[in-house]
Amino acid sequence: MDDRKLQDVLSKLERKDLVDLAYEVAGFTLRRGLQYASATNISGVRTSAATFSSRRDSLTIFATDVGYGTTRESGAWIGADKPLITACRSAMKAAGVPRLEIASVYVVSELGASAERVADGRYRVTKETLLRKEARARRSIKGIPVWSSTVKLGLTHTGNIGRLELHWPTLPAYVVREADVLRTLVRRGFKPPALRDAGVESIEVGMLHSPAIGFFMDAAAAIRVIYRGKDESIGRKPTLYLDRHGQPVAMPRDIVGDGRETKPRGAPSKRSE
Amino acid sequence: MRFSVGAVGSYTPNGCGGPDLPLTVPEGRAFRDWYLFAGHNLVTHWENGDVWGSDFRDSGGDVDPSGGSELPDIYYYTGHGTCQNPPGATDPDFLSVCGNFGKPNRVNIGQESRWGNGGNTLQFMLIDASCPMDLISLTNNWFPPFQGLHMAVGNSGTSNNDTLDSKDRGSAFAARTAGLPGFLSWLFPQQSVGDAWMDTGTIDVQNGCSAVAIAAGATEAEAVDRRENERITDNRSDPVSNWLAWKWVTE
Repeated sequence: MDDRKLQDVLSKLERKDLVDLAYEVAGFTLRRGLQYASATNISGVRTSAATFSSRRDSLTIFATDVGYGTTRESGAWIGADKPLITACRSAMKAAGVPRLEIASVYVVSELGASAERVADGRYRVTKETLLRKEARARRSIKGIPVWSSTVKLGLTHTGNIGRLELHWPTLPAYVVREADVLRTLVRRGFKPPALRDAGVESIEVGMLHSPAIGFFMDAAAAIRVIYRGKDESIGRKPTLYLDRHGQPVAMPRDIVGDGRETKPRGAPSKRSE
Repeated sequence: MRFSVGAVGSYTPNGCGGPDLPLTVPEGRAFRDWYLFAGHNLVTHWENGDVWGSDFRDSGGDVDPSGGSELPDIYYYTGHGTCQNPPGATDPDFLSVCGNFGKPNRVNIGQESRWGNGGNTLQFMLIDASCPMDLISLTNNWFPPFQGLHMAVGNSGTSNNDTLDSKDRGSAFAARTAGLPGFLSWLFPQQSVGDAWMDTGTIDVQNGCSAVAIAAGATEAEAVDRRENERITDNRSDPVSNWLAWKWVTE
């Protein structure tokens, strides 16, 4: 079957469900000029006004009103937090997110400013402005955080969903069980490995999984150890994700490249030294 | 588009002040893999001691044919930065590498880096290090490097509100910006550089750490438009940097 024919067959199988889901989760009415597509592990539908796609290997949804954005015609929400929180909870419920796994729904503000160069070394800075607010959600299972799960929801200035990204994959029971074991080990005094030039800042148990955009859906439980450099001015904190034996866990994949290695770089030309 | 990656995770074995960062090298490789998958052309990809401080300096090293940051259209750096606690308006922003050559390892961005000047091509400088873009000192440190550069991204924070070592931050940013081929170009939505960093620059960061994106323009409107809408694949012309517009999100 050539790809065009395959897309036609798959469209007949999936299109209606996607259109219905887009309406239930995001309130999108997708009718005129509807285009369907399937690729790798994701299927979706779009019109000239909106796109909606969903991974087939995970509870992962992307919904975008093409007019959404600070400088676009549908604008972005800068009003009260409550409509954002309500819309986020409604979308999560419609998508099938288990209520007990919602650790928190909160609002983040995106701020902006600008500056003009008025003379060498002098700048005129404009007042900072609120560009948009978005709701985000955090996940936990049995009180253990799932660091990789996320929901991001933005509203247009009229309060319709402007964009939604929901990434809430079902985790295997063995991953949750292992997280429970790790939590017990930490309570009983798990000793993380020493790291040169750093001391332990915090130890926490949680779960990881592959990112929203990617071609795999791996999951793992881990003890996350955050270190603080002895020279506190050196930024970006070393972070280890460890298993019950204190060994690094395999990090969940998103893409696998060709595995090419870099060769040693030669000495610089005189010009660059 | 032509892109380069520099990832530094090994500091202490080379005699530099540590600690080491085990996830930067996998992060740099993931960034590379997404961009190659999207059809972009890799110019250089260096790791650990092969990333040099001189690669980011305007005094010749940034055009070094073996790895200067001015060679490609897009440069992605992951490694240490330097944080003040708290930063002041006149404090510098730094990248901190541990190079086999091209020392010193610390690069004072505002004083030493100039991107897009002299007919060089860098359009997007993408920095995943802590505190290379402190909001309080942003104009002092970031007006000078914009010499044709379109956009830059980084984080603002302190040693108490810092970025954590992460593979996902850079990988997710790459996946959202690269412009994937075929149907994937819209099934996995491509975002503008600014929007993608607002989503991913807050992955694996401590509370109080901000993701920051800056764009330049001849006018305020142009700088704002680039900040909000410019994509890696837009092929826009180089801006005149009369104005900078930036935005940030804090977790």
